[in-house]
Amino acid sequence: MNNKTPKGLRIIRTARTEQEINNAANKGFWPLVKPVIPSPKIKSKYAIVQHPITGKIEVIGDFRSSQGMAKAIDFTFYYPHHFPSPFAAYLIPRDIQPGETVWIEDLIEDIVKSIWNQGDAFRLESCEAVWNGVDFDIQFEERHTSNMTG
Amino acid sequence: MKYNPFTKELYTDNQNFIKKLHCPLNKQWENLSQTAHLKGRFCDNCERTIIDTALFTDEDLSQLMLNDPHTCLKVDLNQQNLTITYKSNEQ
Repeated sequence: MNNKTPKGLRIIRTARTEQEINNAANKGFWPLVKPVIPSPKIKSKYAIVQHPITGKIEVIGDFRSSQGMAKAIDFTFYYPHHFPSPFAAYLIPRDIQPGETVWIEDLIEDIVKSIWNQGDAFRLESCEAVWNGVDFDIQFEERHTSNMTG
Repeated sequence: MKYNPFTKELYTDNQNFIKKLHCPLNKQWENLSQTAHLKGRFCDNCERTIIDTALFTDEDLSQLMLNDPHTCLKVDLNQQNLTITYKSNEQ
């Protein structure tokens, strides 16, 4: 497992269960524990269409995909993520210094990465952050973009 | 084409895999500079042109990715030639 990004930033891992957090503490990390709070801004929608004879279903997420199709469940918005615990922790290396820029691999905070004009809003998973001595300052400007790159 | 925002996988309308989008730099399209290549913008971190998939057909984009599988792509969730899907080839 790489500990640095290609850009040379240290990668900060996230532990999402009590056991993972305590295992990391045993290895010398300081677990920066935070609550996992789902944001009402993060949402996806789905509808279910069902074949009238076979009973097979299809999950649809785009209004345009369902025109003329009978729905077993009409479009419904929901929070689309599942986490193992209502808390999690960033695993802080003991030698980190204030001002160090790192890469957070698995963000605990819910931040909107992109928004679709059909109402769905998608979650930022990873980003750069700067350690301020107490917590991380997330280096991502939440904007209502609908673009994805990669 | 079709895009799964959870797996970040891009497919043709026939469910043929094109690419899994991943940018560890969270590059914002709006901040990238225009290039002579009219169908893309320049990423100065990777020194590559990011291709705007809105300007390609499924066939042309598939061919482009065959020629260079590491080509970076931009997808706008609102673009006309794209629908959102929850399917992936693993299903």
